Amino acid sequence: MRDFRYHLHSTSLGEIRRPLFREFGLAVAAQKFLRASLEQNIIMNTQEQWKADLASDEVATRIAVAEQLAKMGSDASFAAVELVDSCRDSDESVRNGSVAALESLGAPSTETRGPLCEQAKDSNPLVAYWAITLLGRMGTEASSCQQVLANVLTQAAEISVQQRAVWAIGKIGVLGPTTIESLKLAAGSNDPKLSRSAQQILQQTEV
Amino acid sequence: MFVFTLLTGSGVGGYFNPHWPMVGPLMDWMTDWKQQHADANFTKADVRNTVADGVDRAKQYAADRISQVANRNQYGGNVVPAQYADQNRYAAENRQGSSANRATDKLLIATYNIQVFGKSKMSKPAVVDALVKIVRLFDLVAIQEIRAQDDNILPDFVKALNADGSQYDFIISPRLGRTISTEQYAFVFDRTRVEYDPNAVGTMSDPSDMLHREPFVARFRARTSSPQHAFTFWMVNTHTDPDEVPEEVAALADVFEVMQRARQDEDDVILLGDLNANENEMGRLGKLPAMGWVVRGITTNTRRTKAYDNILFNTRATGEFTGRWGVFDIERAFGLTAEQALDVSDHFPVWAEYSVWEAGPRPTPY
Repeated sequence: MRDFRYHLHSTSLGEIRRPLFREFGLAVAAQKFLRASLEQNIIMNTQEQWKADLASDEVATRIAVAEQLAKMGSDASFAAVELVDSCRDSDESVRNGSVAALESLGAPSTETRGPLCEQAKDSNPLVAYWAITLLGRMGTEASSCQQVLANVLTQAAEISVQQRAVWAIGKIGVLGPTTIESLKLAAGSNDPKLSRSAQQILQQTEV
Repeated sequence: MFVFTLLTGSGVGGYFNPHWPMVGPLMDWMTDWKQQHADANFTKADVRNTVADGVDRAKQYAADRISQVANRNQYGGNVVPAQYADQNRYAAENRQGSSANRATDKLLIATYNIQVFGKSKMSKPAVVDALVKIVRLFDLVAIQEIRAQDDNILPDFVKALNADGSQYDFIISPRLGRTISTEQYAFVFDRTRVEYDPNAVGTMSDPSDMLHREPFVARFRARTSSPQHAFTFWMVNTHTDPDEVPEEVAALADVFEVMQRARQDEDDVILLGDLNANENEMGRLGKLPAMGWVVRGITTNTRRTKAYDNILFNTRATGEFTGRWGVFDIERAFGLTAEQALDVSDHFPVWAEYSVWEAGPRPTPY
């Protein structure tokens, strides 16, 4: 009788608990998958929308999205390239919001390296400055842009852009021969910061 | 099958690795459910209903997320109603809302980076309202990041500040910075509590271009019944470049020493601002003799992730410091959402309290 009861008991556990765990587990896994897909989809759509809105014809929209991105810290890095572009905006508040977002977004993803490399050559000094800053934050990941930075260092009209190019080269680290030549030129500059930074990098690399 | 159960969290897999990202929450949920239904006599129908409830909850969650993200897409943070603070709560929690309520023998000095303080921020009444309430808590505020081509931003703000009869005034720096995106520093102060020496105001000279923005300095004196015994001090307002923090913080050590030697009759130098450096990143500045700083072990940004802002002084010279300091959490004090707090600034104000009476240098111990 005791054995029979035990048998009944364990059978009932088997019937109830196993389906419970299995059904719970599968249902929740499905929910999680659905939830993650939905969220990802929504976030992707939102991000694309925001990028587009940074180039909107409506100033109010551009201001709103730039300021929203400035509140997001590193979460705004998806719009790094667009924010750099917004530094040329005709509206002061858009530029200010974009700069504030760029200041706090940290290092962008390496996918942005190509576009940023192009933007580093831009004739607008603020666009070039921020593109170079983001490349510098990437560190060695931006080493393929070293030639561009070396050119900017010798050719940019704005001293702030040249200073930032030296800084970025220092962050990237490994120096090619053209970069070393550009740094040597910069080390002889009359600008104290440019000269000092270039000399420091050359000393660090024992050139 | 085992791998499947481990990954999905179904079956016994959850017990093997309850911290697995997918398994942990599932196990928590199941444990909670079982605790809530401890007396349940499970039948298959019960299980099916429970699962159906779970699916409904997931649908509701997804719907909520869509709604939240949709709101965010309309830049909800910028169109929230002007109701920032629960006034009663604010009044209860902030007993020092005006100069009349502040201790007359103490000075409250603050530093506040009002992220991109310009035309756009001044056009938002709720933001201006919050900023006014914040500044009125203090006698003297060092402000960073005024970014505007319009020269009326700070005068307009001080006008709003004085709308209740307060007597705040300001001094503002030139536009500073290496790029065309320049910013200004300011000191906003309660004229009934402090006065400044018009012959001792200016930006630091930086011929070697060590700093992105030269610090803005001014000498103040507490207003007391006995001016010759009142606390006098230099304020050095600074905002470092977030990409060149170690170099700039090191340069601030030189700035501090220069200011200490600037006048023989002045031993008190208060260097404050957005250093973009926490207590462990003070470098050479932190190694100056008797150097002390107020913010330790707490964050100062609105996202509560970093300690950027601080107030530094020579602890031996500035014996006027009462030991009281704080990071004013506007989100909690005014009952704001994180989004609303970020509308005001991505920094919280940091403050420290000083006696209005000159203490003179502290004797060197031993």
